[in-house]
Amino acid sequence: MATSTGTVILGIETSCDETSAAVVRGGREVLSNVIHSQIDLHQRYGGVVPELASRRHITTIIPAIDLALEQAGVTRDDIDAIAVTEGPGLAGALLVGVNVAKTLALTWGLPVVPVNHLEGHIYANWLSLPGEDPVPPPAFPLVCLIVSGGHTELVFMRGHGEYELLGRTIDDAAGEAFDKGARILGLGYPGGPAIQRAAEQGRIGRFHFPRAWLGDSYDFSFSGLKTALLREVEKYRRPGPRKRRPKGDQPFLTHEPPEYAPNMPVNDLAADYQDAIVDVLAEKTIRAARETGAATVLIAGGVAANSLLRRRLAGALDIPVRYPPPILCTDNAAMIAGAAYYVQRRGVQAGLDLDAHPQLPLVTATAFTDD
Amino acid sequence: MPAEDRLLLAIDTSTEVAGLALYDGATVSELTWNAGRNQTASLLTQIRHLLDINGRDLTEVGAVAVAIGPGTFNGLRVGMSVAKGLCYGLGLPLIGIGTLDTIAYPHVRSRHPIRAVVPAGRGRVVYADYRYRNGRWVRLSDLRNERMDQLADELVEKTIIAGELPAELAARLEESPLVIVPPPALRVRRPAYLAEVAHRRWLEGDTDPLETLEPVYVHGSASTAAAPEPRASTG
Ligand SMILES: [Zn+2]
Repeated sequence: MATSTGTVILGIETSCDETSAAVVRGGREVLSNVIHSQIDLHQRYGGVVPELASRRHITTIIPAIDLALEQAGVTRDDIDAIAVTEGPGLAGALLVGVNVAKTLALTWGLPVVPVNHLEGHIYANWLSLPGEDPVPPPAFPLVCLIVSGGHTELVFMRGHGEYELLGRTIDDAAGEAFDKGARILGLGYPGGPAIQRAAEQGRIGRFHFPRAWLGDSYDFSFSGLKTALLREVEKYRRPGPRKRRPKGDQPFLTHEPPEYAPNMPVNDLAADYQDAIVDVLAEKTIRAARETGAATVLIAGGVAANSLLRRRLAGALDIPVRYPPPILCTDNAAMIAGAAYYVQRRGVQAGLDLDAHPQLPLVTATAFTDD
Repeated sequence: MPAEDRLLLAIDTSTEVAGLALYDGATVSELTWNAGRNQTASLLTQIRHLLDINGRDLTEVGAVAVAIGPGTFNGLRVGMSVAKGLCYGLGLPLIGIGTLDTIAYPHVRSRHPIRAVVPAGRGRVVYADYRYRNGRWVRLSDLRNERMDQLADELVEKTIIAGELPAELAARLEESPLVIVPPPALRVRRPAYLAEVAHRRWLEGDTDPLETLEPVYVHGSASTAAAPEPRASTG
């Protein structure tokens, strides 16, 4: 256990398919970060089934919290506040975390700090993992690209808590585009790493997939790209069922990998598909950084692990391009506990009536200066 | 074994009508309210309110009971999350009670078979049958999912139908010679019943594992989770 001082916050995150609890000191230092992943549970469906995700949280949340305290080497007496993701996310999943967090806060006499999930992703860039040297805090103003299975937003921040939403996806999230592409190509779930692996074996330039630039806007659209891939792939498809109807003890639709002719150029398709996604993400982020005079570009969310995206951004910009270590890119509670430190400094505190907010937007809060 | 002055807190968010009870083995205090879908916003506030108006404190609670369904999935999750949080935070035993068991509970003295019902939405209900056999009440059927208007179709003997029934359905059921419909206030679940059934289990040291206890999810036309062991309630 580290010996430095600072507010110790227990974070809880259940917005989608990870049950996570973490202990973070001073908004920077991760003492523990327990993540119960449900990938095994959702794999057969080719994506997250909200009801199944919500059910799993009920049995994993208490063990996750218990382990997070143990691994951090702290007891409840060392905890100063409890942070929880209030949204955005899946309603049935969010409410598990919100209710457990509020109840623990009531029984332990602690404040509850509600955190926007997107804010958590951004603040993952302030964290250092156990045993690692602290990272320097990112310099403001900054542009942050939040890209995951659930979100694609481009945010400008002048300082802590000051968010200006520059753009967002108008249909699929970038991670969702990767998932859907991988499903179409029969590459499995989760799609981001699967497409990246296949693309590394393929060549760019054989297929010309569309880029939705949407004029000068910073918004994104990926549904047309998915349709274009589908059209390309149809040429190779062999007939067969793609979805199995629910039956007996299995009430949810399961995903059956499609069957294709063996000569389908999966790797080349993956390479051009990934290129089309990354192209738009990178171009808009680079333009936003230049137009806002950003001192830093941050990437956050699961798709931040994409190495092509990292290379494109770093190659085009002469300001630091930062992204968290992989374990802090995907959904985790450390980022919630980290962000909560800055949220709490704005004087934000929730009551026992805090509700889950599945559609919670990222809005600018009262600004304050960094120390 | 509970200390004599310690309280059992019962939580029921199976449906939009939420309920709480505090029970010390002799005196019960109850709170029910129409929570709609706002159980998350209201449940903890109401727990504190119930403690306050009874001049009690959270530290006097020695066990937590929770209704495990069937019911609305999100509603059940709210109650389960708060119950688990209380038990983990305060180091208390947890007792999960089937929602249909608490609906059947007040009718056991009649010795008539009981059909306990919860609404399942879209004109459907989930129910189970209870019967007095060899000196004990047992739940006979697995959880069944049925169209509301067919609820009494295959009855062969006089049966009490209890639960949150729409007034129109209750009126129609009353016309059947095989159906006994208790008055509305007697039909609905009361958190006091949950508290009483759970208190007995607490005395017997029969508690549930905090980490793995989960709601009973009844989905579509079949139960997707094994129904919990039928609990006998003596009449
Ligand atoms: Zn996320």
